[in-house]
Amino acid sequence: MKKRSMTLVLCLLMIISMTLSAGGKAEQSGPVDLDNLPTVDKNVSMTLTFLTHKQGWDEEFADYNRRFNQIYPNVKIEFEPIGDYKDNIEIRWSSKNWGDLCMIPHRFLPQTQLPSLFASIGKVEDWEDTWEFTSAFAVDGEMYGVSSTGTAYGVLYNKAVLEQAGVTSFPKSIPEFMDMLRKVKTRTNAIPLYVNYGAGSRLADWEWNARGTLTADPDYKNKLVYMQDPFAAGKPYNTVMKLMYDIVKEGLVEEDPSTSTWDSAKNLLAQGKLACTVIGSWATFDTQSAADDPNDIVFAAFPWNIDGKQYATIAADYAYGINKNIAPDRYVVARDFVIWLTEESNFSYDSGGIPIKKGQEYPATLSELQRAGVTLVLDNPSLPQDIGLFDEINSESELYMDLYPQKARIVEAAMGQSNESFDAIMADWNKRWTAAQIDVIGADYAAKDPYK
Amino acid sequence: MAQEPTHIRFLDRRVVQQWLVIGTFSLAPLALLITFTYLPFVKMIEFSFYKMRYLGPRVYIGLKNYQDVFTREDTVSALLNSFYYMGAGVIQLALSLYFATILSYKVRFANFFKATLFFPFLVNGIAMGFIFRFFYTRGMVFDSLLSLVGFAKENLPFWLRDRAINNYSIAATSIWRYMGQSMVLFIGAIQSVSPEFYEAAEIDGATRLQQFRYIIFPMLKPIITLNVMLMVKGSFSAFEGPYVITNGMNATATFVVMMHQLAHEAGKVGLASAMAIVLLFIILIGTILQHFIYNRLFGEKTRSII
Repeated sequence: MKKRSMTLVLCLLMIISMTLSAGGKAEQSGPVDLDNLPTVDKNVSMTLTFLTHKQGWDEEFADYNRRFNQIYPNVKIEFEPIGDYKDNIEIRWSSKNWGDLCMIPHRFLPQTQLPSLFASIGKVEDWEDTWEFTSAFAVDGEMYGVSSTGTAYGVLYNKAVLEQAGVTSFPKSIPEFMDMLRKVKTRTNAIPLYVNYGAGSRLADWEWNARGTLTADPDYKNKLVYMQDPFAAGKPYNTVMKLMYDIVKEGLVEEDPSTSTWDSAKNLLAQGKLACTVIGSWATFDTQSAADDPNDIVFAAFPWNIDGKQYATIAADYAYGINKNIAPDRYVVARDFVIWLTEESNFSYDSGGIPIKKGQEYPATLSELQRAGVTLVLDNPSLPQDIGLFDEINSESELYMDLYPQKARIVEAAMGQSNESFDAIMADWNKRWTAAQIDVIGADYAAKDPYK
Repeated sequence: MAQEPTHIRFLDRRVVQQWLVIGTFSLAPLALLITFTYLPFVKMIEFSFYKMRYLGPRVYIGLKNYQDVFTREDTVSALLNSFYYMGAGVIQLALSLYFATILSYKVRFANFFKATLFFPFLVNGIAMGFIFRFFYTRGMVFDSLLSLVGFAKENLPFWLRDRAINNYSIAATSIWRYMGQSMVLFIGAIQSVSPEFYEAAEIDGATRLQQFRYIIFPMLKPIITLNVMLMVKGSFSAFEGPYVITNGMNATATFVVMMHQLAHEAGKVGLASAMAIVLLFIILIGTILQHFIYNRLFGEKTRSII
């Protein structure tokens, strides 16, 4: 009798505990009602959790806390740095109470998914005159994230090496650029350009220049969706890819691209054994720190000009986002903190990127770009009816836009490892893109072009 | 004492008690197994019939994905790359058998050699990839070693850049990594042979080679089967080496590297699922075929481990 009841009790306990643990916790407060926000007393006492990708920033974070306390004396922002941020943050987001604030990586979530996770911080129209990149994380005119800083695309070069080769100013056109590389090769011991094929993602950096830099058109990426043969000779993508092909073909790159890494490129550039590399401006800060004379390392726009004027494609970096499931009073403080971070904190300056508040001073890494009068071009978000089309065509065509595999194919052809000609690759790109356009939009895709 | 109700009497029976306990205790592991292994597997089979990405609408397209796996140039060439790893696997087995035999006899520092040869297997696959990336870099470890023994540096090929040899370079790393593992399996089997056999053979005047041919090799048959099977499976699903060393670029992508690229970078989840199912069948067929041929070759039915 005793034994039997023991067994029964044991079974029951196990089943109960399993159902309980599967049930989960009680719900927190629902989505924030933006129209009826409470007024929060500045002396309110609370602790907000901020998930961030910035590691080793304890000093800066302590400084932000101290300065924010001048407005809200009893609010503490608990920064929680997470390693391998992009891999881990999605897991955190899957629960509703992951924290109060976090960093949202750019082009990480489909734009349409932002409102399901984050609360709107404000309307684009209210902020676009004072802040940069207001549309980067916006859906239907509401900002669900505020970019923390921005990255420009272009060329990072060593001024001392160029002077040694007899080049006094960084070229502003492709023939001049090729000429510069050849001079570096013949007149110095430095490698003219690091293509960084082995690092994969560095090849993808070339592509950014094909958009804003070559066209000055913030809608160029959106237009690609409807464009006929966008990779034909003379079109921006073709021009940029052809330059990459020619440079590799002429042997103006590192000896063994298949094993090159960004770290080796950084050190060679800092030591003056490499003249330049095509990359994002984020790389400037690291390279300057590794160089004897930081002033030698300069970030310039891609060698291109439109009637003498230069442009550079820029991309928004990680954005600040607020959990839409937190209590209204917490939201109010969190929102004030985001605005403070953007306008007062120097976050973008500390990370060596483009400042978000218009008119703020550029960090030393980018000041050259500002001095040269380069206009920065940010891709516009796609029209509401076009959201997701680019990604779909990209996936269907397998051209790996913003990624490296198809660019690797060009480098392989240029290295003589495959028998493809450059024109054949571009013809194949056009063929695949067209087939994907027909598949996703329909045979009359060109007629539907809203940008005509 | 009053008669107990029937359901209590039923629960009181020994068999029922037994099953109740077995059932409750296996509930958790079974639930885990089903949720994390079988359910995803069934889902993957379902995915393979759709044109789909992780998000967004799914379109049923029947067997089109399977057709693509066998007609696309990149997937077929990725599948053919497995043969480089199979070739490396044969060398790996031969070498490990050789070392296992030698180290089973009385050798000075035998344990030291065993540990040294087994060590690479303990190295994490990703770390190994990085090691070999440096190893094969122009002018680094491998080139220096070769120039020490008299090769002129200028005449050495680019181990990873040259399409004619890069697959050999990467496949060779798997010999280094897995040889220790199969060696330890072999040593275990050899040591389980009673020493009386060797003594008897030695008294009869058998040479070491004859001992190997007539005692060790026949005793090892089941473990060789196991090793061959592991090797075939490993060759078709090679991933870490080519993924870390070359990122699958320059025609070094194996089937699984291709699968990863198509699913996570191109976003073609349906196609990648179909590739996974095809891979499963190739390995199944390979195992069955190998078993069959093995029985044919060695005549009598051998005791199978698997």
